[in-house]
Amino acid sequence: MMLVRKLASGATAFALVVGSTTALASSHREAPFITKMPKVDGTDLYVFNSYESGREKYVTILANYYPVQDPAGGPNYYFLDPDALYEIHVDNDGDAKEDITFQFDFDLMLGEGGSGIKLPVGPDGQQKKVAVPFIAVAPITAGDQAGQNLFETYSLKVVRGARRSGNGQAVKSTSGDAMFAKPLDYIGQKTLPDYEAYAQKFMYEIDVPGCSPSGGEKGRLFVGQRKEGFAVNVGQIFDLLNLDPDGRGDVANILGPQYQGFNDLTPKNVTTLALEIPTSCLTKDESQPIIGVWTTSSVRQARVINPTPSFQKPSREGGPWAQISRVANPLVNEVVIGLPDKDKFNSSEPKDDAQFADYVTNPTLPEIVEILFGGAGVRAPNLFPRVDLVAAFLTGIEGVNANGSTAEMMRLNTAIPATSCTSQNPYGAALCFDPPTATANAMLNTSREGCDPAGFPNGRRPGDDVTDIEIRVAMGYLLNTTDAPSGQLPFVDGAGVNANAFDKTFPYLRTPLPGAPQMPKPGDLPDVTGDRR
Amino acid sequence: MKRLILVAGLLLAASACNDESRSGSNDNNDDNAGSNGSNEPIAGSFTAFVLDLVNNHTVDDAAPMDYATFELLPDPDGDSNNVDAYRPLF
Repeated sequence: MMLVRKLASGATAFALVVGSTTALASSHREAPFITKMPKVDGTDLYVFNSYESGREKYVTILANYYPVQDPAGGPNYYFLDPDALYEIHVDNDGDAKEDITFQFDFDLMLGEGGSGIKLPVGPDGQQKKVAVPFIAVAPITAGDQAGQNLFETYSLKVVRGARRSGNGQAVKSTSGDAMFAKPLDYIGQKTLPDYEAYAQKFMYEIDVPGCSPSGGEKGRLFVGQRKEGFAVNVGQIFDLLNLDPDGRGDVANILGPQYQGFNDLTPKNVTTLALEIPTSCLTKDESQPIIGVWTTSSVRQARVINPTPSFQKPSREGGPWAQISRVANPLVNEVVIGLPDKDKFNSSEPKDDAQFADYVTNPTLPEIVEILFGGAGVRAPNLFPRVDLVAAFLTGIEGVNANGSTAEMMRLNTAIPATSCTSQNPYGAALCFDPPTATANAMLNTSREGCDPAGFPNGRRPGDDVTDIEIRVAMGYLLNTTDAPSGQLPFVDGAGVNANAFDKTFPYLRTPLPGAPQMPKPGDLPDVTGDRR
Repeated sequence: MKRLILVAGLLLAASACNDESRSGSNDNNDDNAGSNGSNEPIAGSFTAFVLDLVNNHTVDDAAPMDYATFELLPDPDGDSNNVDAYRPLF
């Protein structure tokens, strides 16, 4: 921790650095062990001051799980793990320890009260009632769910203090219910003819225990499948950064425009845990408006497979909770943490992040970029330790979202007003810096044209192009041009994104893609130019 | 070595697995079973550790057991493919 503190101190003096992590594809299947358990694989975390009209006093938190969902992935689709604990943690006093935790605990039940829908089969008088093999046997609408054969419900608890020993209280809907329901995934347009209306039924207004805003604000809650919002050419990136600088056409050009018509995640869905919480319920007080947020999932330490499984008892889970997934800033575990430590990172807590300091101070990604693109003149920064990345990754940016802690969290300054949907810049706060010179690093200038301080890395909105930002920061965007000869090159992955690709109301991520009758192909254009809804 | 266990996370560890009151042998060279005929696990075995973990440590406020605690525990039930070893859990 001493090393990190020292570096953080240096970074503060160092003019400051935007940024965030280094590089390339959020947190989908990023560590070897988590690939065994996709249901609890956290993929992305979005934290931002709500920009829906009339919701200025709220913070939205979207935690995505279960990556790379093919919409047609039936017959069971993508229900969450009923034996896991999904959590969103908030540090509001800058000590890198959770002060507030939202705990989601899911349950799964067959239709017809738990026995499953059965059909009479056989000749008259000799019929047998036989269980059907599908999770839906008739069209389902917001008003008619009689044909639904699998139900997911969940409870939500807010824990103040340490997540395992703190005081936990049930979050209830404003109508007094402590149990919430999750919609079926978007099986297809015949089963769910109006999915958007159907999903709206699972949006809840909630009271958060221990929180009574003076204005009487209520929170909102939704858990369900959404269209994957992350934009990244993950295939090309992990294919030795197959981003041709000469623009040969069949792959994105790493030095081309922001958006080149590629996005490997375009045809995918994801499962979102969405909360909109009154800001005053998250911050400690008005003098400390910066929060640090991260999401984790945990499972019981032992899982014993039932050799004679039933729907209710496929396995027995027991023992203490063991954390197996962790996500805050995008791409950290994917392209910053070394392969031997990725599982360790997933099990770790921000307060212990000093153990990963070398991956930030001496990052490998820029060296890899130089190796692959050195022939085109690309050079990695030659400043070590990378105090710019320490500030970006571990401390936040002084004057924007630094909160005194040294740990990897998604930091949001709740006092910086949200930027409206139509005015957002996908490069967010990364544009709030005057360019460096040969000897001077980039300097924070929030009045600079294009600056959008409400965007990444001050929190993260769905429309922020975090991949491009992170590549550039990794290559030295904030460093002087002597230390970072290629730091001002406009690196991209070609999978552009902006606020147009999302709704302008909670939960912002769009209606998922249907499993039938059609789905977009990987080469289809991301919806970045579509109408804002 | 086939185990009936999917280890989720940095699995287990054994606190009560050395419970001397449990019956059975500690001999991990016994290929026939890690459990005796009455489904009692062998004290100090991986099976005993797992059963104890699930039955006695399923709590919300405890830290998971260190890997070193169970890394080297003998697993005669696994070695002998004793599918009944964990039946008491169901």
